[in-house]
Amino acid sequence: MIVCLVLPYFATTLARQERSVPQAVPLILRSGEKVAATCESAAVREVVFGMTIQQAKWLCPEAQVIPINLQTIRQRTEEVLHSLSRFTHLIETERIAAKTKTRAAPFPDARQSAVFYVDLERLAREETMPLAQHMGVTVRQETAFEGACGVATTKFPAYAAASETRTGHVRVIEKGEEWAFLAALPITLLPMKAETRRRLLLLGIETLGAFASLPVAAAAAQCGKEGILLHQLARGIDPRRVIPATLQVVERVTRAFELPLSDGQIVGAILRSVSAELSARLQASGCMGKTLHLHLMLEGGDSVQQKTTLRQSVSSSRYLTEALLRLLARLSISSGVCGLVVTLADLVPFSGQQLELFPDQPKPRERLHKRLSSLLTRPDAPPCFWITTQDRAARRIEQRYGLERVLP
Amino acid sequence: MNKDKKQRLEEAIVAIRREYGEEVLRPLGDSGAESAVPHLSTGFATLDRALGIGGLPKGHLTQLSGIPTSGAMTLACKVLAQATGEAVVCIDLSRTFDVDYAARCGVATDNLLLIQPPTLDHALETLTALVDTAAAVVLVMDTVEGKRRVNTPALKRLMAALHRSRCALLLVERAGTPLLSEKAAVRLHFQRERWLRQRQDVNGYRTQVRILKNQWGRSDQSVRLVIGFSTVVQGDGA
Amino acid sequence: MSYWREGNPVKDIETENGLPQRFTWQGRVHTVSAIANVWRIDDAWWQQRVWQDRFKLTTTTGLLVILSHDLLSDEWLLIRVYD
Repeated sequence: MIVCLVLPYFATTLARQERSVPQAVPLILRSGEKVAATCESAAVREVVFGMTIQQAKWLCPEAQVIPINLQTIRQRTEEVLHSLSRFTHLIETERIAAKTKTRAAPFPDARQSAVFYVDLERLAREETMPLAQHMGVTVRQETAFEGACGVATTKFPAYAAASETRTGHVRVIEKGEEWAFLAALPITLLPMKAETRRRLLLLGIETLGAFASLPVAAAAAQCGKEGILLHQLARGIDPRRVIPATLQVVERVTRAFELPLSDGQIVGAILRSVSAELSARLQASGCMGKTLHLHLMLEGGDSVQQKTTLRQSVSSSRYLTEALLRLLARLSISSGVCGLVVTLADLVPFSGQQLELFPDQPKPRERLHKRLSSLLTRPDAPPCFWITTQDRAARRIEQRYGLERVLP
Repeated sequence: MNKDKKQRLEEAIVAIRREYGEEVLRPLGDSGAESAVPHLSTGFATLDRALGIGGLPKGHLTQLSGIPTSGAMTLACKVLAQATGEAVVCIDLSRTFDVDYAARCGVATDNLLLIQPPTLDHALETLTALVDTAAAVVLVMDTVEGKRRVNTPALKRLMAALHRSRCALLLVERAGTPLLSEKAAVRLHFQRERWLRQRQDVNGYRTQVRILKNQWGRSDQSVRLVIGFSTVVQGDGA
Repeated sequence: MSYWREGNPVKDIETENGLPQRFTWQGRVHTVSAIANVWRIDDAWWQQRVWQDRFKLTTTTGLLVILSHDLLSDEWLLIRVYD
């Protein structure tokens, strides 16, 4: 199940909290001389993103205009992520760019919401509802943002449910009922370009139901390539996965494969190339990272993942490859791999060149073994074992690993 | 560090500073954000934050207590998994260590040494000899062992060796052993709150961890952790 | 997680339609609150047949365990306690 948490008018709510602007005063955030975000009451007066401040003032003269602070917005989104991360790390949210772009609003949806998708994987429906409620409460308590939650098996219906729900409430869309629920809702819920939206409205297509009843070819003809996805979404089908966000600054490399890979060696080889790319990017930005996360998308929609925290921050391709291969070995992969995401987090600036100062240091296991040998010669030495892997995927637990007695 | 290595390190540092300037090399942990207390992450971000230093301390004893199926052992395995590239040890007094589960928690079994001493005294002695060669050691005691008396001089020797080392020593026990509890720098108590189900099957649970004692931060806090088996256990028992 | 390779004996098992209802383990009576999963193992019969039913269950004492019922010897063993 997927829970979508929608926090409407995020940027202005935040600015209101920080600057203690009273609720009654409409609030407009500016970037240069243009509108970057608005509160609900300014939006009702048709103040929109990209408009000049002069125009906005004319539409909404009593509004207070303050500059947008993307840095704080980014920090506060991270806080929400942190709150949600106690439930799972499979959380997706739009990354806030460091600078306002002239064409794209920081929160592009109809209510300028910060949107968070939380993937609860196979959690049962009856467990999801209370958990979603709990998430809403946790976020409110910890960050003072109040939103609405939608629950569905895929992202778009969950988002639509959250958008159509009162603040502080959870709405669940049952499997199979997505289409019936979506049909009457406005097409403005779809994640599309302003131009596409304008075009559809001109054609008199106002509801998701009307859009969904067009043939796919017509949708593609009207909206171009994105039309096919939009059409699927309108019909309640959402092929998009939750791509987990990371809490800090990260470097991420994504690979998708046309044909699912079933050969572990090929996946290994791809991880080497990913490491090289990651390393090149790190060198370019003068950073090293510590937390490495490997996420594999499998055939049939499943996914598996592993993460590790390295002992030291690294940037070298060799170390990254080694760590990734270790992560890969830990995953049990039951079907072909359709794609992978490698994320390196906890980035820190270089604190000097990474050097191998002690290349001849004995391996950890050998060091321990050496120490053990003196212990093991004693008559009352306790039995010590190294672990041997027999068949980690064996159906019976007792067939997976063996113990190998350590002898003096 | 022996003298030879130390000298080589110093020579390397001098050479690098001459080549690239004084500022290029700084001791690790100097960046401000890094915690000053050496530690191993627990693998649970919320708990790491609540602990204040970013995880469980190295060179100290941490006690994890709670009845079975409350998550103490899972946490211990997660900590072992964080010590990548280093040797870790499990001292298994109850002889029930689940290697399969540990591997699924991410423990590198290649570097895991399992020791099954007959008594707690043996365990303390073995530990004293090994703490400085391992990154993390888990000592698993069942209830019966906990009731036995702890040999005070042996415990003192162990604590002295531990404080000199960079090893995180975790004690997993069902009922607290007063003498060991007293030596712990951090004490965590686990209590399962509810099962997480997937249809009929139980695929995890939510547990509450209370920080009973914390030498470096606030105690009397609690955090909730979700322990999911679907990601760590598959096949038999899934 | 505790695991017994050879199984840890349980006593006084009470069953209903083949499903365990109550058992005594380590001196304590555990009542089954729900059976989460059941699967059968039947393999390696060219060496020595292993024919067991395995039950993953929760108890009113707060445990999540795997019980194994050996169908050849009718013996009940506890093999895993989740932790």
